Amino acid sequence: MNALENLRVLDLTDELGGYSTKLLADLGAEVIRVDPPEGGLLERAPYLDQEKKISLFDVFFNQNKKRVTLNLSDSKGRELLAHLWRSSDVVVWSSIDGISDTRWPIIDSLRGNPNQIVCLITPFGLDGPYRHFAASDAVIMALGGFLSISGYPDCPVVPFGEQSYYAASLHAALGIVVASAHRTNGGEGQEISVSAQDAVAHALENAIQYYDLENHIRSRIGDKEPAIGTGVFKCRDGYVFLMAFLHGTPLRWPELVEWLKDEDVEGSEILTDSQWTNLDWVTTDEAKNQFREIFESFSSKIDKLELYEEGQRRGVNICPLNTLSDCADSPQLRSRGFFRNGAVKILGEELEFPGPPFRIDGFEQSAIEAFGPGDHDQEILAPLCQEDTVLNRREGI
Amino acid sequence: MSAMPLEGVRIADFTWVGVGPFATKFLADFGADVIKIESTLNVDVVRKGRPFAGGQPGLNRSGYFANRNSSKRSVTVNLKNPEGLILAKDLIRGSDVVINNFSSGVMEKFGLHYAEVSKLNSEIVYVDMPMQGMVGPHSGFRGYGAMINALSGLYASTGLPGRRPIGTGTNYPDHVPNPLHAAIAIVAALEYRSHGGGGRYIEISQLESTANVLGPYLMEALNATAPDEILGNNHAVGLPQWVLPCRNEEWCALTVRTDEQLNKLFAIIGMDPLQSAKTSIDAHQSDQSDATSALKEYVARWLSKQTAEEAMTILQNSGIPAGKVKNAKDLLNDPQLMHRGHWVSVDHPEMGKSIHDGPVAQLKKTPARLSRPAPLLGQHTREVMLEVLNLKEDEFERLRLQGVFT
Repeated sequence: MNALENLRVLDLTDELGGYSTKLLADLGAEVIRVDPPEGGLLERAPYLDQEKKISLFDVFFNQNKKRVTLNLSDSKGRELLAHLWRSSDVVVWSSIDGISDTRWPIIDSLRGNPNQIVCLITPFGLDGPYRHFAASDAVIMALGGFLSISGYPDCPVVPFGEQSYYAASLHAALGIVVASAHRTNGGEGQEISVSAQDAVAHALENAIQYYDLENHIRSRIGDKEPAIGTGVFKCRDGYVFLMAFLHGTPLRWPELVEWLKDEDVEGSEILTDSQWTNLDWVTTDEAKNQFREIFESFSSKIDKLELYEEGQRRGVNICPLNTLSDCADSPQLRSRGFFRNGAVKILGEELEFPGPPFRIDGFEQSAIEAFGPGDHDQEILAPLCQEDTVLNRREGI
Repeated sequence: MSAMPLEGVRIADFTWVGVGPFATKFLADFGADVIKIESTLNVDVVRKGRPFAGGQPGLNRSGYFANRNSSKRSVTVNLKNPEGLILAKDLIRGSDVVINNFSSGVMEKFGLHYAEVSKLNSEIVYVDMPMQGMVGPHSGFRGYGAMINALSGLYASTGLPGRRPIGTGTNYPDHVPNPLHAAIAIVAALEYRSHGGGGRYIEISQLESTANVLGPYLMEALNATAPDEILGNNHAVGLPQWVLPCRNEEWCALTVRTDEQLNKLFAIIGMDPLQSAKTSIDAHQSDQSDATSALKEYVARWLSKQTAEEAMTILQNSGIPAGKVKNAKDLLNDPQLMHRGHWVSVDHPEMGKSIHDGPVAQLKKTPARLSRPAPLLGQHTREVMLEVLNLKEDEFERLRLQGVFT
């Protein structure tokens, strides 16, 4: 039993929207993913094994989805797509090429059934002055405003992991479950339009309001610390993240000073002076550098996890600046069973997966299975046509 | 107009600061009756957060707060007062969802944790949104939204190679993955309940939620021996991509995704393809080290002579993905965002009119809308007590004088 177990979803997404249907699969929907015969649309880096085409991008996004292949440049393939479309509650299409995608006329011709939910995810929307703009994650991040606040003062930096795709997909998934709730309560189906640029512009914290209300344009502050002890500090195996001040208020400052004194850190005795909680002083470069020198003379000899656990024991706001490998080793995530093995059919082995983003009590976490393109051709396509689909597939359908 | 899709759903909203209020805002904009349970004794810090209308501080003047609390009502109730706690429980009895983002243990202190609340209302969808989960060796550790950036690996993975990592410049997990994952789970659980599935407990560990938007790379860290690399502004699958300065201190991002685009780019920047050893996208992808350096020099030189807007237009006219790095001011005049009606002006009793983010998922028949401005602190206490909890006027007055509504 699971939340969306009655929902049948036709997944026509590329990298822009693949996460939206991954979430629906996490919630128990039956997701049927369509790929072209020449290979999975999501087959891209990072790879486990590029030669064998084991793409972790594909595996992560397509876990627990059923997968068929259809050649949409062939009329039989389009007919089968129309079959699948008609038997779905929800259809999700995305394209980084927007309505310039060669598949768009096919999608356009199939939309319009009032009882279905059809979600269309594009970089900029289906109409408007940018409707034909070419896009990438970096371009969406630029035009959505994120790169005006992300990066060093002297250079914008694109956030890791193509986050515009996730932002668009998350809003799309929310729209889909809301539209589904509306339908369950007696309403009709409907179309949902998601623009990734909108999704990014929605993620700018308070930057828009800063300009609107105080005429201040937020810019990239990079690694500039707002006050002493607030930011990234060196440790033996990388960095830790320390928050000694928040919005000009000291956070657990006495505990931090006590810690350094207990460790006999050179220079720590001066930190008890009251000027070290005075905002006029702690925001100066001189104070920041002085504190950094004192703290790093201690922290640079100790590992991040040890600093984390001891600092937290003392009530200090500190945490490790984890690499992804550190995150994969996190004692917290490990103890909670967040990482689970799942069968990767195309590999014939199990891999470790991060668990779903939410835990809903009483909904079983089904065994993770990641199928390859076309693994469900026989099961799903065969009943739709008279001919043997395996044969069709050989003929390129 | 169709009924709002979440009309009739009542949410007893104990969330505050960044992540929780954004989750319930999405539901409020889709028609849920979100009642924020606040207190004048311990005010949501975002109410005190800049920017303020007219630059004047005030608990009802923060644009940061207003933007993430649209369409909600606010009551002030002192939960430390026994009668206040009874009222909160009454509200929960008549609600469909209870949500909080306190550290583990806080709701328990008030007897408002799931084990108790499910006794009051077995049909409740109850949501905890702790930093790292309700259990586990680090579940009691202190932290703020910014620290989820650090713990998840997002911070350390974002930066330029050879420089100190810098993260995303925002508390990204508070604005995207965590509130949205929570809202999606809530609506799905309500959907299940309407099929007769009953109440549900939902736990959103903010760390686990954020780890999901790094999924493929986390899988790499879990299963492969690939080193943790910083991509900087390089493309995820190795396509030529740069973010470079233009005239007037503006910046432009561009990506080359096909051979056709690459050839058009050569023509635009006046580079003889023979000067570039790599004239196909595949060659660029297979050799990141020096493949792009000659090309990058040409692109940089060309860009430095254009404004970002000019560069974007020229490149886009040739079908090359390019975009000006827009700031807040640019965004409010961006023709595409305006075309989609992304910015919404909301009139607030104390702030006047101000710009809010509009709903991102545009539902054709039942669109989300910012149906009312963010509530003043305790603005709806009387209304909710009388109309939702059916308190008599004199009873409300008695409790008010006892300081229950502080």
